[in-house]
Amino acid sequence: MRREEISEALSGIDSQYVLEAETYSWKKRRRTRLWRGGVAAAALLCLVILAQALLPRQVGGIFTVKAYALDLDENGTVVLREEDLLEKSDYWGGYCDGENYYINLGFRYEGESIENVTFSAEEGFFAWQRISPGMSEEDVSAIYAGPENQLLVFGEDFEVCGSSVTLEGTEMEEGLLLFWGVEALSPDDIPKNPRITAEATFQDGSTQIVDIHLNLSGASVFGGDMQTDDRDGMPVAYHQSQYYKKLSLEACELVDEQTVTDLYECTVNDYTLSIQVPEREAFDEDGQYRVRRQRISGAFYLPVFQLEGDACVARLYRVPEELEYSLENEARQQAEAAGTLAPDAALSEEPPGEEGQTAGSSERQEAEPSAAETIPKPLVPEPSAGETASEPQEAGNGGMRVHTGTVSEAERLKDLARFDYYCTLPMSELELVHEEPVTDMFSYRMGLMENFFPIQEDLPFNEDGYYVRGVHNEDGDTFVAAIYRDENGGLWGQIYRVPEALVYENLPSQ
Amino acid sequence: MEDQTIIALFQSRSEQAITELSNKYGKLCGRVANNILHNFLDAEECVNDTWLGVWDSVPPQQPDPLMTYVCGITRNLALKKYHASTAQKRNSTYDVALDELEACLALPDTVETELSARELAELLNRFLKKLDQESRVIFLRRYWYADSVSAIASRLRMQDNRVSVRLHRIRKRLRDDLRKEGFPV
Repeated sequence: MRREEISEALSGIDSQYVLEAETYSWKKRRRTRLWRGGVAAAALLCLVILAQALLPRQVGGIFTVKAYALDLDENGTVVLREEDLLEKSDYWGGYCDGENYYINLGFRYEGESIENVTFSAEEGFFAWQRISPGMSEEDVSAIYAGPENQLLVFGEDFEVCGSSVTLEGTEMEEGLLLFWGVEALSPDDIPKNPRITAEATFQDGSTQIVDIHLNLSGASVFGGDMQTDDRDGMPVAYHQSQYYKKLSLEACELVDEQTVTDLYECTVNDYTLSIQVPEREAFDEDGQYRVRRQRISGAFYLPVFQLEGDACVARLYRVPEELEYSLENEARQQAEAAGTLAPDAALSEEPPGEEGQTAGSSERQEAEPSAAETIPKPLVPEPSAGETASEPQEAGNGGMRVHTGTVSEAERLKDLARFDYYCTLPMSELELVHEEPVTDMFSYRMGLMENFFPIQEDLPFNEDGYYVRGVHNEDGDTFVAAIYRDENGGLWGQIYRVPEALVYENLPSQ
Repeated sequence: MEDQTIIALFQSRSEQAITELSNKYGKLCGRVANNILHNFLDAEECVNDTWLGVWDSVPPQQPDPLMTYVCGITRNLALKKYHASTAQKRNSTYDVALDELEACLALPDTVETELSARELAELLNRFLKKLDQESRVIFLRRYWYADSVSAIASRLRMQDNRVSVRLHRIRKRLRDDLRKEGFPV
């Protein structure tokens, strides 16, 4: 069909749908239900596919499993919020105690005539947590994640009880939650598709089984302690990332190969991997783009995109168990590479540049936003490279964004310092190249990329009335995008070019 | 200013009408045109021609809703320019979006499988009616407004990947619908 005809057909779409698409509010998506009083804050967590066993309703009783997230009401009291099991959030997380990761989705069961319930997990383990009535926010930790500033709340006191646990009676103790956890060196080692089984035995001896499939494919945020390497103090995740980045694909098993256009989908052990094809600019000089590893059903997989002529081919490799990351394998890899180029400290999965909460920047076109960030204490993290603080700050950070990669601490601090520098630079010293009145959205193009910045009511303007939204490098120039509030309260979207002498990298101290 | 007031200004042939229309829908129309043309100057020209188009047609037209009427004019003007320009760079958001739909609607070239624009429009409307609201919004934002995936993600507070996945599945469902209607895609 010719493109003109497709265009013409699109013009014939009912005008009510056109209007709906312009006036639709994302807030309509939010549905939260309370388990206990108060007003819920934001949503969170992973998709949980609850597959009831295909058995006729048992005469013995009723049995259901529900999932809950911790939340804070308007009084700062911890409440539980039942999660809609089919509602997926883009962000999930939990707590890391330095060895184990506890996913922040607590399970409880309900029913009638139940004798006992046994929870078991193929991978990982279960851990208890008790949420006391009246528990306040001082007793838990909270992080804001993502462009919506989703609130992730989690406790820290977990009591590990093994990969199988049996609870007695029809009712669980009030406030008791069962969490799933796993021992892992880094969040990337957390399986994407853990399975939990809950088997209820009724008083008449009959049984019912419920299977719970967790889909941990969204971006994750953890609070607590991350594992660091004793040799250099770097996060273990960094060493792992470097190792898998350099791992020879010939040593791995090719399990899937497809020519792709915008999306790569592949099902492995009932888990469907969905990865957006990256922008062409993200590929390396060999036309390759390696996505971060995925742990699925106990094995590591490496998705790789390769440009071949005009086409893009996606391949999925399974890492042999003997080649999974270990200190020995890392040492062997480094020894083999000795005498050639030193390992590149910059990762392909670099966090996006120093930008606010908008879409459209080239750095955000990453293949899979499923990377995790373990945030060291204090649990409301300091702003770092690619991240902004959980609370809006005077310097113009617009909220927290989850990393899609892992960088060295030095890189993070440097990026932070760079962004802070531009936030405090007097705009009068920069060259204004574009200005327009704005109301609810500031959109601008930088190179090939369009940027859209929704303007919220409580933007933290500095004392001169500026809010720096982002810093861009384009064609050798550095540009600063900002929102300016004039003395009458009017808002202006502005783009400034930074004179060479003031570019951060050109400063004498750099 | 309310749409009805703006229409009343057009009907009374007041020059204020254009100013008010521009203030209310200028930015939106500009975005629609620029998404297709990928050129600010051409987009601006389309927007200016839109005001003229509305001036010439109202009255007797009494558009309701005014927004879709105005955006529709802008879109059609932009499409005319887009299709007429053989030198048009193939990197506009609209190009990419059309590529996606073209691949989705690829029919063998026979008389029997020829699908007219009107038939496709009817088919699309039936298809859109069956979609959930959010999927329908994503589809329209991509293929009518020609928003980039990132722009849609930002508007709906989603991640880019999630929008890509949704679009992919919507297109797959559209192909399945076409097959059910007897078209051998």
